[in-house]
Amino acid sequence: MSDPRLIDPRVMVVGQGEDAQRAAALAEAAGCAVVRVPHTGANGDGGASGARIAGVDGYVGGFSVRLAGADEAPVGVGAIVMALGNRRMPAGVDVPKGSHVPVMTPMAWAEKVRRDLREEYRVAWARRRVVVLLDHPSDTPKETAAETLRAVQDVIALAHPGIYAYYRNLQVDTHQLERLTRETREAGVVYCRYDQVELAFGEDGVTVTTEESQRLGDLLVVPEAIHPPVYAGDLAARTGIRVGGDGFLQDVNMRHVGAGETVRRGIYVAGRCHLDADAETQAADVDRVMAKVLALVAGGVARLPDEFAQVASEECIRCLTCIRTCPHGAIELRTSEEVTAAHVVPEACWGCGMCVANCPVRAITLVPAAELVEQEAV
Amino acid sequence: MSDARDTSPLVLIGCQRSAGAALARLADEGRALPAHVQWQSVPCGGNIDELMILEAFEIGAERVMVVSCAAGACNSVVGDERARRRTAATRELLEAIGIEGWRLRYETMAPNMGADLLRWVDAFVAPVEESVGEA
Amino acid sequence: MASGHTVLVLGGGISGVTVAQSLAQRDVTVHLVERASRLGGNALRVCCKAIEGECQLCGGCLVGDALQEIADTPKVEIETNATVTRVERRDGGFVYATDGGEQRRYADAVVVATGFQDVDARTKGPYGWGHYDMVVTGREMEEALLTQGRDAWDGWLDRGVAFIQCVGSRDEHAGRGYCSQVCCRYAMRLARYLRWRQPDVAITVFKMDMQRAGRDTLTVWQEVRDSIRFVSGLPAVIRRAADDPTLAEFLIDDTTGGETRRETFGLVVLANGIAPQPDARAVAGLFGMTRDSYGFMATGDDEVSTLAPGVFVAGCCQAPRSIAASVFHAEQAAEACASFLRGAHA
Repeated sequence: MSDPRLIDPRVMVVGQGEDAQRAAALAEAAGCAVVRVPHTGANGDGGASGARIAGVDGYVGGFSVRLAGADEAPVGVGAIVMALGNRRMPAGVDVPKGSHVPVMTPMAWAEKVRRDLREEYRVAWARRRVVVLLDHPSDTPKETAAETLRAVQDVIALAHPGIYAYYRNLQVDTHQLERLTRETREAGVVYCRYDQVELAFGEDGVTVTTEESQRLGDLLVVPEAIHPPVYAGDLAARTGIRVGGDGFLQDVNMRHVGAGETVRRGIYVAGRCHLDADAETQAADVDRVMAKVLALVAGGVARLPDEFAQVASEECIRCLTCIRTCPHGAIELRTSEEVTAAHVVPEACWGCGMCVANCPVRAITLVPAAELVEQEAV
Repeated sequence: MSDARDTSPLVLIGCQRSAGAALARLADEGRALPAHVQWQSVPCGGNIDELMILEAFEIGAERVMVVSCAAGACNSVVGDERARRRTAATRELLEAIGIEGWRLRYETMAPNMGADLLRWVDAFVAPVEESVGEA
Repeated sequence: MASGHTVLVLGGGISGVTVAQSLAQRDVTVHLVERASRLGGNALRVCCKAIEGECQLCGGCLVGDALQEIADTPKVEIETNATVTRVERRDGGFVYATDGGEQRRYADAVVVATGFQDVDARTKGPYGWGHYDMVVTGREMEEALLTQGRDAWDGWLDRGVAFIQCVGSRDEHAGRGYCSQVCCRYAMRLARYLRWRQPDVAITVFKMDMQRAGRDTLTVWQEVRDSIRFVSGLPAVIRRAADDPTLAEFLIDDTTGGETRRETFGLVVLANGIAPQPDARAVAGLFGMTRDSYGFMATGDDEVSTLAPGVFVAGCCQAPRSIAASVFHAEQAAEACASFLRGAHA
């Protein structure tokens, strides 16, 4: 096994969407070798092997990643970045069979207007009444809020249908959202607040009824719902990181929220697979996490924590309790001079001491990092 | 009912990110635990086990308070859960050997709850016996 | 690497401390200057709102972690009880002095992280803050929970609690058209917390639009929505109730449904927002920065680089943001600064 202190300069980027492309490009621009793994599930992209992670051995600076497909040799990397992105699904407005009212996502709507205008349907569009549901049936995720308003702006620039934007709570807590809301309002979009809304689909269109008004629309625009990436749970289980209760990577834990680091040192999460924010913030998150990854890899040497656990190998009874219960994946079984025992990898340890408490024979203690350095020097 | 504070020895076992950080902040404000409280720091609630608590009673504590971060705020994610379970298991052990369960308490806190920590310590007294009969 | 350089970080709140830590990790020497006697800034005033031992994700504890870490970082020189008084550009960097002293220091770049002040609730005079003891600000509520303990408001919950949002925010007349970003969240958490203290408390939130953040508030939002009354509309004036001077009373126009009602409450909590520091203009002047129309430090599109080369900003001095978002922003500022150091002084 190579010297644990030196870092393998390669970075693995997991995922295949925008976030993964951005992360890989940043690493390459910094001169890092990048290994791309799409991680697309059982059948992958045309069943290509190497498309999925089967497991991760090793520790920060020296991971050994087993890829799906028995003939693939494990890949050695210094750090792993999960940039799986997320999944967009239609928001789920029930349209009864036989209704001719189109229900579209904001992007699809803007695209349709563009196409129609090429065929000169401008006048037809001017007569239309478009109902945009900003937070129905579910609250708009941050990611799509600005997108929806930009699509509205795009359409206004091309044609002038009547646009009615319905909301329970208008999201204006970023400069961008404030500005887009103001600009679209000034351009003639009618904003309608409601507590309860009812949609009735009929021959003429969809009747939208709230406490204040009733309107007939002939097109319904509903932003997509954001779901976690499909294989987040599977990936988390295979790599020793955690998935939150909502299915996105990382617990919603104050000490981890937004940090980009996971419970396993050297494995990071970036972008949409762990954050719900607008496109610019997602991109900034990828940049920020990659800065940490590149700093780690460029440093050449893994930093030791102040205190970490150490196993007295002669006491170890190989019950594997510590290995199973370490939240950080920092313990492995090692054989040295014919003695097989649990071994805590210092660079991967967080010094929490759970293994110390769990060991049935009290074979583990917490030692200051300075002591390890002394031991090595001898 | 006596108003006298209980100043018998109390051992406070707490993780450095919750009670430890709170005590550091209290120190900045010129406040500290009372003299009869002995402070024992652990790196994480997950590091707390039955032996640690029993040893505290062995060295003379009449009360032991175990403190960790709240659920969902543990840096190692599951440390608070372990601390809670270990403390509950230790309470059973204590009662089996004749030490009243009320003498062991578990609380969760954040670094900005120093005021609460001091009050918990002061309020850590034997439960008042319910009087039977007369109003 | 950006090593071998020195950076002045002005302000030792959560943003300044995060920038300092981030730069130190890149081998940059940092001089962190804080005018108060201790580090931590406004984040120290956030109380823990955990319910039943479960965290509500307000972020107040993050500053505790950050302060413990920075204390052990040798590359960061911390100077408290100090302000920067003179700045000159010289030798491709900045020469400055603290507190009018003669000692001249040099830095290759500067990160300003001077934070914010609370919106003064008196700017909404008709709400009677400062005159009625049952009208308090959200900040005061937090302060009491912090200093007195978690039961500080237990005696106030019997006769209805009203939260009034957007006090000093989204208010062009007051010169503050922006959203302060944090008030909806802290009000929801406080409301949920009070409900935990006393399950039968009747809480009403008077709002314009409840702002939701990403994943970290989704769980709180879902729960609170079904158990708390939300009214779309803000009162114009708060008075003492005629029949009971210990109760606050106001008329409310519910903007959906259109009726006007008289409501009374035993406690009214004004969610006051984030405003620029009173000395923001002077600080901007010191470093050649400009400010936006609301008085926050102006930046380019990246939200961390100012028009003054080598001067960056982090945290709420640039725009209102939550504690977690400030940490994010501070890391971005540190990266931009490090990038500048690598480029300009390669």
